[in-house]
Amino acid sequence: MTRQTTAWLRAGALAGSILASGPALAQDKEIVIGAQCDRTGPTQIVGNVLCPAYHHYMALVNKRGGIEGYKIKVLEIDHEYKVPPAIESHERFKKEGAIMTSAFGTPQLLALLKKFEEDKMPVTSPGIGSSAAADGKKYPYVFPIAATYWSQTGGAVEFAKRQLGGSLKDKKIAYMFFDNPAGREPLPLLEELAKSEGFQMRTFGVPSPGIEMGAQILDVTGRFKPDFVIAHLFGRAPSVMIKELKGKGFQLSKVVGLVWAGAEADIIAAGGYGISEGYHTIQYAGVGGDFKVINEIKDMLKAEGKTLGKEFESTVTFNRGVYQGAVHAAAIANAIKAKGGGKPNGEDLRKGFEQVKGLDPSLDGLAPPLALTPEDHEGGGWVQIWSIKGGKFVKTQDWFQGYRKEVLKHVEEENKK
Amino acid sequence: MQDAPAQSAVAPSAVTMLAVNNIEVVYDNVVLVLKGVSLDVKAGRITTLLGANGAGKSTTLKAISGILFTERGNITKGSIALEGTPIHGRRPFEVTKLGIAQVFEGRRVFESLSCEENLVAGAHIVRDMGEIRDGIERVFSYFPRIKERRNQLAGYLSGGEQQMLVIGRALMSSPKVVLLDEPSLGLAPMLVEEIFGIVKRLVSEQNLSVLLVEQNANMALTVADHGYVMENGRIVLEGSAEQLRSNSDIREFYLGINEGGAKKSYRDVKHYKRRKRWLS
Amino acid sequence: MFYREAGTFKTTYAEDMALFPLPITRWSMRVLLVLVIAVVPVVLHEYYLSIFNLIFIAIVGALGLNILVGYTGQISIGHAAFMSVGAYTAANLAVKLGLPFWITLPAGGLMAAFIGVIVGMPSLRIKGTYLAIATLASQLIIEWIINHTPAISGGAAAAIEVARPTIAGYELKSQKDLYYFTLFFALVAIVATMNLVRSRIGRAFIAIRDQDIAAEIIGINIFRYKLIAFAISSFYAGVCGVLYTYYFGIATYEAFQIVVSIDYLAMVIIGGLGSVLGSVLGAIFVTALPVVIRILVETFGGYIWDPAALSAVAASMRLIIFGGLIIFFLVVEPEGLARLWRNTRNYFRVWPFSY
Ligand SMILES: Nc1ncnc2c1ncn2[C@@H]1O[C@H](COP(=O)(O)OP(=O)(O)O)[C@@H](O)[C@H]1O
Ligand SMILES: [Mg+2]
Repeated sequence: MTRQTTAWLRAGALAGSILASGPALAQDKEIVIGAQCDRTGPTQIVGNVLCPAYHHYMALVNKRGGIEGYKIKVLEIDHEYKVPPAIESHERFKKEGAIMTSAFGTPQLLALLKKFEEDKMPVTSPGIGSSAAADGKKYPYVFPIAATYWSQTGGAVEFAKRQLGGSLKDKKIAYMFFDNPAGREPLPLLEELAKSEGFQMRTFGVPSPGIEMGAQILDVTGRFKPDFVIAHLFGRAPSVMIKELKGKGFQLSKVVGLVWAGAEADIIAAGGYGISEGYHTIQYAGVGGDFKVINEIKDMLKAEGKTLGKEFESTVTFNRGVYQGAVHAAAIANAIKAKGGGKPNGEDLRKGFEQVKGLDPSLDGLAPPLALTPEDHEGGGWVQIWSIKGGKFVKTQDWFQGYRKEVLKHVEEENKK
Repeated sequence: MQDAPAQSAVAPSAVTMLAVNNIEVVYDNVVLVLKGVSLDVKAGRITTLLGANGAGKSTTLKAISGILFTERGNITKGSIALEGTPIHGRRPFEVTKLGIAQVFEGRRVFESLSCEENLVAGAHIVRDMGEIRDGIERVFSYFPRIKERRNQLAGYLSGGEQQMLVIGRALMSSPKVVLLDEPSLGLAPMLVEEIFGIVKRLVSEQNLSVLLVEQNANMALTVADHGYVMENGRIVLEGSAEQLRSNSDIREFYLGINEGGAKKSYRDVKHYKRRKRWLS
Repeated sequence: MFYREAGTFKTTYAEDMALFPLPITRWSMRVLLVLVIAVVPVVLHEYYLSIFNLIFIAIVGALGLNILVGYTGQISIGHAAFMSVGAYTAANLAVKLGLPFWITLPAGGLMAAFIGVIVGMPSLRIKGTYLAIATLASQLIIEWIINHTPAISGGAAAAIEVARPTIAGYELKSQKDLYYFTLFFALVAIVATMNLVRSRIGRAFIAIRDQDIAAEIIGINIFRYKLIAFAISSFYAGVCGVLYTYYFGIATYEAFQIVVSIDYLAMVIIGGLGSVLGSVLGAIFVTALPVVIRILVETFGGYIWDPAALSAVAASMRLIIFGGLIIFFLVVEPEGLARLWRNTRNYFRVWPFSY
């Protein structure tokens, strides 16, 4: 008998009992996490890398013996980047005993914001959602756990300042952004920085889906002729921008992209590393496969006789999935310890998150020096700059916080409204 | 109001219900289709408009009912009056409210409504439920075949039944004038006779006036009181049904009765027509 | 089996015009109503209620779209935009003026109806594919306007948080509370639509769809009725958007983008154009079927794949099976699920003497 037939037979034999008993409830020594994902919708390029990476890391944690004696069970639901399935997934996670959610997508997070609070269930939203959620007092259950768009923008401006010789006085900065709420989010902060730093800022909105931006590029390179370009684009748009800027002879070493404009896929879609040479990217997790934790995951999979999937080809996104998993693991560990080994609920886990300081040491270098507090759910807003040099991603600048003071002031003001 | 019309077959003194006065119709602002058409529909009579395919008969009816505008047509000259009130340039639903109902060629039933619902829809401008019910009963009394199929979807009726249904539907708005466009099209002669018989009864019993457009002159002239012949957007002949039936040209070209025995060639016909028009 | 006409005679016009002409239908409707009102929310876990809630909200939107597309024959790819109009109208009224839901909800509907009339204007001159493009354009324009008008969108994030609806001081918060809330509006929408499509206005819509010229000639002011169809349809969409807003606790235009318009079109096409039952079945099909498929795949696939691989498999299996079922049903009955149901029912209506 082949393996498959055995499996089918088992499935058939057990079918009745499953239907009778319903889905298995959470075990005693098991912690359930609900992970939303987009594997079949418009952001599947990210989802199909980030979510497997997250699963791999949690499998590694379990293989290492779990967290304080608890095994992690990840339930994933693909919501196709649609809102109604995201609502359904949240209720499902709750039913299955999940104590936290890993969000995927801003609209889905927004539509559940109230529910997370009502259900006292922490949710993490690295790289998505509103930057104002970094304020733990205003949004007690939302944890961005990574540099928000505002912190990324602060980092980008500071990097530009450094590249342009330490001063932005009378310099010209172009902001190319996806014309949606996420893209417009950094605008007020940029305006403020333009005033205080004395640079001239011009904005160039690119309508969704951003595959046609000839006019904006012509405006940027032909008329405005900026000293630096900050790009906040998504999907296919970053690659189109790189290609078009290159086509107009614009120096890519004067361009920095925020976190969704800087994955391997963007570089390849733009025509490869040769064309993209010089391009800078902002990152909230390390790039490349050269980390202890990544090797451990690979070894684990090999030992199980599995081949490494396509998700390993995009280290930028993969590493973000691993980083996310490590923050979750750290928070869970805190929560269990605080309960003296007892099983934490959502509220316990929220407190666990607010104490996260330092992660799984095998992530060394992959993760920022994150420190979550009851006030700061972003954990410092640390970013790195990675640039395309000599056909690969090279670290240009290690972890730093760009214009931290201004960013925090902004968060505070936004939440006073 | 003039004198009451004489009850005899054709009295020139009959009251004019609908008067079309020298109208010109242009489609798409360029195609001149009606080149000065005048005709009268007398009260309580059946007036027929004969003519070959493409002569402009349907266009005349559309000009009267106002539907012309939705087909990018325009009345550029002339006037149309219902009982002396000008109606040209009005929107179709206004014309309907004034008392004109058109029955299109090609039997346009509302396929997904039942027969009865088609009739109710036909009474769109009538608000009183009792009046609508009376109307339905009246239609049923004239078209018992429709009554038998009252709950059947109109899309599944036979051609003849559909023709009856659309005539019945037109009656539901209690019109003064009914414009009938080629009701005989594609129907067996027996059925056509039945339908024409009903129309004739309707006219005498319900005090209707009918403008009947037909290619089938033979049939039309047996029911009509008065007739017009149209060619190339012009009225070329007019007369009582009797006169038209006995007119040699009509006999030859529309009724297919050949006097001399020898068949005239197509070329002769053209030539003849042209000369005739010059004269008129 | 019990759907029988034999032995039922209608003796009055009122009987003839009842929404459910056969006693058996009336009885099964009553049973269904009792189930939905008294049994389902008590017996089922909150999770299942959340799916019901999404279905109820979708029913309102699908009915609205069916009035326009199914009954009047005017295609629209901008339905979701009207939802966002309703959503932002209600959210602004609720936040800025502190108005309760029973004011913001009809207000959202009315505002959407108003915008719907404007968007419907081109329908006088254009039909079919062209109208589809025009409504698509209005979807994009409405999105753009909301997105770029802080007075509407509430700021750069274009999201406005609203408080949960309250009735006499009681906050409707749990899925069960919201179940009754959404069920109420779904029922109102269903009954209203059933009456509408049998009214003078509804017949005018059908007449326009079946034969627009003949409709005009029986005295229907086509332009006016097309606009009425757009207004009513958009009103439903607006209310649907408000329901989403209260259900989510936030108004965000990103929940009402083109994909949503397409989803709703799918509902009415799969369910059955020009059918109230079709709108309901379509809303259920599109909302719940992917969930059912996923649960089945997860349950049985758990014995074949490990959890990490299963997530990927479940996602693609759901897509394939769902797509396959849509094609299957449309091939079996191109006129939708409602027609399929009617055929089955009519079979039993005369059973066992089929002919
Ligand atoms: N919508 C239209 N646009 C342009 N030409 C038209 C239109 N409708 C009819 N015609 C033209 O007008 C002429 C008369 O058509 P019609 O009135 O339908 O003729 P009949 O009913 O006598 O057969 C024909 O030559 C026809 O091609
Ligand atoms: Mg004709």
